[in-house]
Amino acid sequence: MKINKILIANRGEIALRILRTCKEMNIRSTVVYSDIDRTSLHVLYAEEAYSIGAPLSSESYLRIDKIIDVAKTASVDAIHPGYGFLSENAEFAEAVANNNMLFIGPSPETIKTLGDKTKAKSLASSCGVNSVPGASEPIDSLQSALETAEEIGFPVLLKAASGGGGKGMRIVNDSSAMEEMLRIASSEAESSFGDSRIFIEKYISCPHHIEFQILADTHGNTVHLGDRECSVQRRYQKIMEESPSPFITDEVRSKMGAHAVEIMKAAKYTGAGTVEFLVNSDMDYYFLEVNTRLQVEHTVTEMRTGIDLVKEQIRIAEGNELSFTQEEIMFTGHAIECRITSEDTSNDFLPTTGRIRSLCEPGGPGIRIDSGVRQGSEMSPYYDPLMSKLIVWGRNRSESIARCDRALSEYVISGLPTSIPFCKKVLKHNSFLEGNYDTTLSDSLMKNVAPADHDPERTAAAIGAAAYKVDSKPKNFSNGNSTNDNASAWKRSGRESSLR
Amino acid sequence: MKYFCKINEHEFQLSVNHETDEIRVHGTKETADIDLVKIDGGLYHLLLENKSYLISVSNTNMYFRASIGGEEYNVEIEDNINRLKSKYGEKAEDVNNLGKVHSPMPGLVVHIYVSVGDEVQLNTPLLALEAMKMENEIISPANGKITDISVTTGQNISAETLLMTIE
Repeated sequence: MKINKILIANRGEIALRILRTCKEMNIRSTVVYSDIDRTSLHVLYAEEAYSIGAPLSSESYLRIDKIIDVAKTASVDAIHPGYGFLSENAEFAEAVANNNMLFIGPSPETIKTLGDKTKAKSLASSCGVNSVPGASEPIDSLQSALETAEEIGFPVLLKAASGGGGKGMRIVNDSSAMEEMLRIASSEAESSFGDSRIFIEKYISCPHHIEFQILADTHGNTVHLGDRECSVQRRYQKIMEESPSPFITDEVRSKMGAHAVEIMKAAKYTGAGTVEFLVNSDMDYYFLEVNTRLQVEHTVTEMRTGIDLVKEQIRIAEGNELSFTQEEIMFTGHAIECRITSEDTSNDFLPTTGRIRSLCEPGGPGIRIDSGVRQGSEMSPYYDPLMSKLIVWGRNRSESIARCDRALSEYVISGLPTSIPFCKKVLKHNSFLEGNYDTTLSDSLMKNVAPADHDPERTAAAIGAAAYKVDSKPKNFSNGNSTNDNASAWKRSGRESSLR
Repeated sequence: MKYFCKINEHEFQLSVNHETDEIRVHGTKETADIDLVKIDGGLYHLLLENKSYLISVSNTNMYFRASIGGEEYNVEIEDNINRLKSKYGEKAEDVNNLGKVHSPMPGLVVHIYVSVGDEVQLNTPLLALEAMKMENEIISPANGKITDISVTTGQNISAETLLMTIE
């Protein structure tokens, strides 16, 4: 069935990302927005936009009823859920189907099976892939949590049953911390996913997080589009990703890829999805989970393969066969993604809110920016702090690292702290440069890397900060010369030697 | 006006003549040829002896933060008026603030674990704040008794909002 019109049930950069492919494919599109997003980029660029309620996600982007109503009013053929929000919600996928529209993603049954961690693990084990040791049932009491932890050994990881993205996840190092961590994890799981059940498993120390991008059509063809190393994380959430992983050997890579395909075939998967693995320092890999949606970091795969994953998702939903085989997928060069978030990386990654006062984006060879913000955009506490993604491509890893560093230097966002300085520090860190880093990189970076301290920059920073301080003072005591706000009172030069 | 700047462990002094728009830098190398233009709110371009710096500045409660080429410098600035003030002390305020718990970030109050009259210990969880989908527990900064709770569950608060008072 040819899709003529799509509703994009998301916001921010991913809504724009999907919108762009729709336009290229000559497919009409509709977006939805909450009250606070009236002037967000995805609405400004939309063909059609419908208001769906208050800023709180539970009042807007998570409201299945409202989104289905809009889809019917706008007469769309299909709904693309993006990532987050309703993207892995089987009930939503079912509601879409029941209203005779296509859900761009796998079937509700597949979402349910793979969303159930126990079932997903047994599926993986039927394909010969081990999972991380842990209890097969959710924790029912503090006592049972402590018993399981003793059995598999501390440290253990608490994980939300229907979780993802690091929410409802905590490491417990010894029995004394169990009660508090269990309370926080389950409360966070309840408010993020409406499901407070928590699983417990062995925490693998110094692990690598490596995943495979899968595409599967409805005709039984399943391929992988290579791996992504996602071990630069904070709060168990990814912040930088690269492809290919610099850590695993090609032999391990091809074994993992074949296993990923096998698992997705066993799950009767259709569409784009990701099989995630934890890899220890001996390159033993464990099945982690399947993400039944497009991922934030799908872009690095697109850079290396030249394949537009959103386009493939739409083609698969239309019932088309994949237009390439595994052997025909060509991997070229190396790609890195930096998530540009509104977080204070020098203050424990606390999320920050505020308005983007000015914005200059990088450009030049090998640079791609997928952004959801513009100058004047307001970062609110209602949604994820992701502002944009900087994706770079280079012929090899060292070229893409140099390019990434250069692009980050060009990227100016003023008005609120961002993850840019953190990403720059990662690119300069020895273990990153050597390609031998694991998920503990960000902790060691925060502890051991001194703040930037170059001499002329220091002076420049002081002058800039002092100018800002003067400019932000109330001007009502001035002598009546109303000055143009854009022409700074600091447009001046002075030569100290000639003044003395 | 004189400005006393501190970055990492380095201190130096800027003098600004607000009538002639001249800046002089003390405590660095002798000569500084300075051409500063404001590009936009919080964005400046500086030619310092013809070397080019694009500086974006934001304000935290503690200091100014200047980013140059993707790297950050935290700048503490005191002007001569404030320096005089702190010299003669205005410390009484700080003492009264000991038992006031403020929010470290903007967010949504999702749980309040304590009630007025409760005795709490250092590090007792007081409330949970959700920001950007993550829950963060705010813990008690001291041993004492809750005498006032200034927020309610479901309330959206900005950074530095007074949450509770402990005596």
